[in-house]
Amino acid sequence: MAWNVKPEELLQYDYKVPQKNWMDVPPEFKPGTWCYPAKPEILEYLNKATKGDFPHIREWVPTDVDWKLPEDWRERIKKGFRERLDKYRSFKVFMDVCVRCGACADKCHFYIGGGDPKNMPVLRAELLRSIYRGEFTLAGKILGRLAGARKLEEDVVKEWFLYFYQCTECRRCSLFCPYGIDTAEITMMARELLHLVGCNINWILEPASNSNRTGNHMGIQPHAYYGMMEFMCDDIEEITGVKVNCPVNEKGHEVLFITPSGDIFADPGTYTYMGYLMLFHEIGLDYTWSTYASEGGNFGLFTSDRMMKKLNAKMYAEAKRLGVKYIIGGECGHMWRVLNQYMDTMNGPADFLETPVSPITGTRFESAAGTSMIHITEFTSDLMKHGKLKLDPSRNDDKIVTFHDSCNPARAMGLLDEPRYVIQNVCNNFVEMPEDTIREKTFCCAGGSGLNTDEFMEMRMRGGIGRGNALRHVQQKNGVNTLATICAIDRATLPPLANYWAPGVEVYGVHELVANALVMTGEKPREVDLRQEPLPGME
Amino acid sequence: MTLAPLLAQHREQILDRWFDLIVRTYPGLSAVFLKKNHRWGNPVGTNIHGAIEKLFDELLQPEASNDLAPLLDAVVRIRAVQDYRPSEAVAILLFVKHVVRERFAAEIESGRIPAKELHEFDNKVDTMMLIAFDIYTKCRNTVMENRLEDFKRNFTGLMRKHKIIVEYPKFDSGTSESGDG
Amino acid sequence: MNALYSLFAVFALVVIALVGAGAAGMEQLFGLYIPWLAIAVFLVGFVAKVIGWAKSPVPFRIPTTAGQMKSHDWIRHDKYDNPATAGQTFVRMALEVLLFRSLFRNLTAQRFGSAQDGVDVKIRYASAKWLWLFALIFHYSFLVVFIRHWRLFLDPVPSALLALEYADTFLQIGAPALYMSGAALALGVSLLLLRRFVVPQVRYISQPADYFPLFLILGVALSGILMRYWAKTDIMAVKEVTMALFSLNPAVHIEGIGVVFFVHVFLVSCLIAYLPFSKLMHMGGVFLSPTRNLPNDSRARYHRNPWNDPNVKAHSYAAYEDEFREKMIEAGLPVEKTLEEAAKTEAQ
Repeated sequence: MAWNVKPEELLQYDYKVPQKNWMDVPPEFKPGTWCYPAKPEILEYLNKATKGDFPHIREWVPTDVDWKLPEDWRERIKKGFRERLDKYRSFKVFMDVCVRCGACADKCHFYIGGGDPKNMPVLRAELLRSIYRGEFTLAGKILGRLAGARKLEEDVVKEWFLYFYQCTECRRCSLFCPYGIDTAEITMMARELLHLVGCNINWILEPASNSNRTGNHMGIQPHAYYGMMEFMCDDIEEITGVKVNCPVNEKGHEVLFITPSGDIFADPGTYTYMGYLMLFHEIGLDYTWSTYASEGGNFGLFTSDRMMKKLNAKMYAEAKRLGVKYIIGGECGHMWRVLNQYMDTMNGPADFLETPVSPITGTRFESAAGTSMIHITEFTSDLMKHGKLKLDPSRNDDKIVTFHDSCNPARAMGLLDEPRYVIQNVCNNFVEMPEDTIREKTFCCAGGSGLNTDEFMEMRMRGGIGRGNALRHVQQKNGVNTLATICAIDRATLPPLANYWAPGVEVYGVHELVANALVMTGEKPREVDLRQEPLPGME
Repeated sequence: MTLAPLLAQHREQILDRWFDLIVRTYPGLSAVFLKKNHRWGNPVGTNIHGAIEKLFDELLQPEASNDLAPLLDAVVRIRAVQDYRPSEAVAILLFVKHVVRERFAAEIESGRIPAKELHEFDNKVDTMMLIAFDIYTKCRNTVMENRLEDFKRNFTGLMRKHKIIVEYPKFDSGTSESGDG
Repeated sequence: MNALYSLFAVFALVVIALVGAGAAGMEQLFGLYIPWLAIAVFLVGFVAKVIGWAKSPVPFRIPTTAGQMKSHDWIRHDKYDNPATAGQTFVRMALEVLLFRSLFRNLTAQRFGSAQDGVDVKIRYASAKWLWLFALIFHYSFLVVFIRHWRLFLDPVPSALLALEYADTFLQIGAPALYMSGAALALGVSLLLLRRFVVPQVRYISQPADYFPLFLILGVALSGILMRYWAKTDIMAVKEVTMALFSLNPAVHIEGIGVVFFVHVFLVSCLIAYLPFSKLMHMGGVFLSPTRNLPNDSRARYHRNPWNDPNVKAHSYAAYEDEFREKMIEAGLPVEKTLEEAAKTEAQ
């Protein structure tokens, strides 16, 4: 290496990503950009539970040269591809209509943060489309590359694994696409194809398998789950002086409450969990929790439609067994994509349930007449609108709060103003992040769709710059120190994101803020918040 | 006293070239995107550009202000999680040296810019690099800490519940006795 | 490179027409038979493609919601960005198809600096605004040009068409008066092409299949303009051909029409025959996109998935309780069966 380095020489790595056609750039597996493959014992359980949805189980690592694909891997993928084209109009249309206008290119947080061209949604989809053309269209078969087609090689499978597990299915690109092409849909198809040849990741399948077996994604057994709830009730009593009720697996109540189980063991979700317990106790809701259906989140959404249906089916099964009238769902992102867009179609009609009616205000939730399932912020905002809660927002006065819209409630549901209304009722200081980074245009936490694992931290920080940049802006300008969310994955992914891009901002669930402000009947003068930190004025 | 006024006079051109060199370290195709003045859509480009502008002004001052480290942080924090080797991540700060030499080649050759001033300028950039090295290390550390925390966070509730870890009463400066008695 | 391939392909088509209809004198072939064939290919191809799409069901309702959903009466519902009814969805689709609503989303003005920061407020636009504008110019001028051509197929020419022509030549530039739509079409295509050359990301993702239709349409537009303003063509003779085309009358004798006409017709024939097999099918696909054309109402009413597999069932509560019964009882959780009952069932 020469001593006197000139800028041009420093810039040699300029061409690290070659200016070659993307089809000629092989995938490269660098630390921090891919997730660990699923453990064989997990796959074995799942394959048995699903009667063969997870074939070709083996030990392998993406950095291996030989991925030990099954011998007939080409046929498996081709057959699977054809089947999915016939099952989904979305898939078929999205394979045909893209004009590569580039409107989506700079909408992906991974592309914005890292600049890898294959993270442009259009190219991510071309990874599949090129095979579609090469295998299923006449022009592609004859013209080959001239028609944008290519052959199905082992490198293609590797590329799929790398880039379809670098998509968080956040759908930000689909918002800007003139034809509504939804990369999440394409990513789902690609992941299903990868399952056919035994390529999948552990961070998705272990939670999916746990949810199936134990009801929650962490594999907690029922007695431990219940024990944890009792422990939370003790904590609540210590803080408020009120012993809250904690009904679990009980029959004959009006409402079943289901929330993501990540919130029971992992801080800061635990405080949100305590928030639910306090709120429901205070309003005297006739409800029950369930350990069998203790997982609201659905890692099946990141796996396959069959796994999603299987996991989701527990909710109605449990509602039926317990004989409730309707279900309330807690704060979770992708859970609400499943509930809003898939649940009734997959496991309905839920004719044994009723249209949800708030027992406190009498409000009828017609928009949930089919699924009989309402979002907790729909429920709470209604309580607040009718003045049914006694609130002391000054208990949150040490917080300057901003709200992170989670991708799925924003772009697969449109739940935007309900959480804001709730927050503004319990916090005196609320500011919005810049317009292009919230509501339907919200930036992903870069850990959605089952990518919130620690080995993926590098990519998560890289992709987190969109959210981090906006967060740091309001932190510097308005002194924001609290980031509220309505998603359990956010509560897991945003603390490290904030720690890196906007150190000093803490992550809260909306119902933790509610519980802080909630004045409970018979409570003792509160000195600390749910985190056992002194309340403002009590330091 | 000739380098400083020259630098001030050619500020825009030097910055343009400096940013241009930085942009070229990104995959070529996103260069136009990075130059887009779109604060929320293009956080990488706008943050780096904003920071090097102010860093350049710092270089013109006889003493660095307290902003120096935060400005370097803005640049290095981004580079630290992108696809670069450590040397590549911070090298973009060195570019300004080369840009200045390139721009004032004639003046340096003819001796119109005294060697001493050039040396001083180089020293400033070197100092910047050393601080950047610290920040880079800190950032990478944060990434690793985040991984650890992520792992631990899954179990914090469990550990509290089962009293696996001991708890100490909260420190209260008002009532407790001073340690050194 | 990709652009060059496409450019050569279009040149080759021009040469074929020049040689075929010009030098070899195959006017009949290029004036009637090829257009017929092209129209047939188009009709069959288009219908086949749309039927192909329609054959695949829409199992799930997956609209991309772009605003506040229908919720409490006191929360403003973003009707056309997050439709709850068929009527609202229709408006959403109309905005999408007629005004390119999603592309327009990129049009938000960016404010830089603010009075509080002591900086002048500047407004900037994201680049995609240009895409929206170019696309709008291109598609609408194409539409006007397309409608204008119906004067060649209709006799007598309807007054609405005459009015459109009058409006299109409103500026009265040159003689014959310049059709603004024709100029706008050439401009729109050029801008879209230019964008593919200039914006690196877009250049990187562009394929021959992206350049080819643009060059082809540019060829169509330029040959048309050439015919009208320079290589003056006998419009009556042309109309005779076009009327024959539409009355499926092969007996007409074609003569006295310049070769440019045949180049024009041949390029148009290629375009319509190519359409069903290319990305140009987005004109049909946009109507079938499940993220746009469905209301966000799957929580309110039941939708059937035709291939729903009833064999996919939840891991049953009974199996769950069997695995954890002892621990549940110990923790005081209610169970369906006591240990004795469970033992009895197992014994059976």
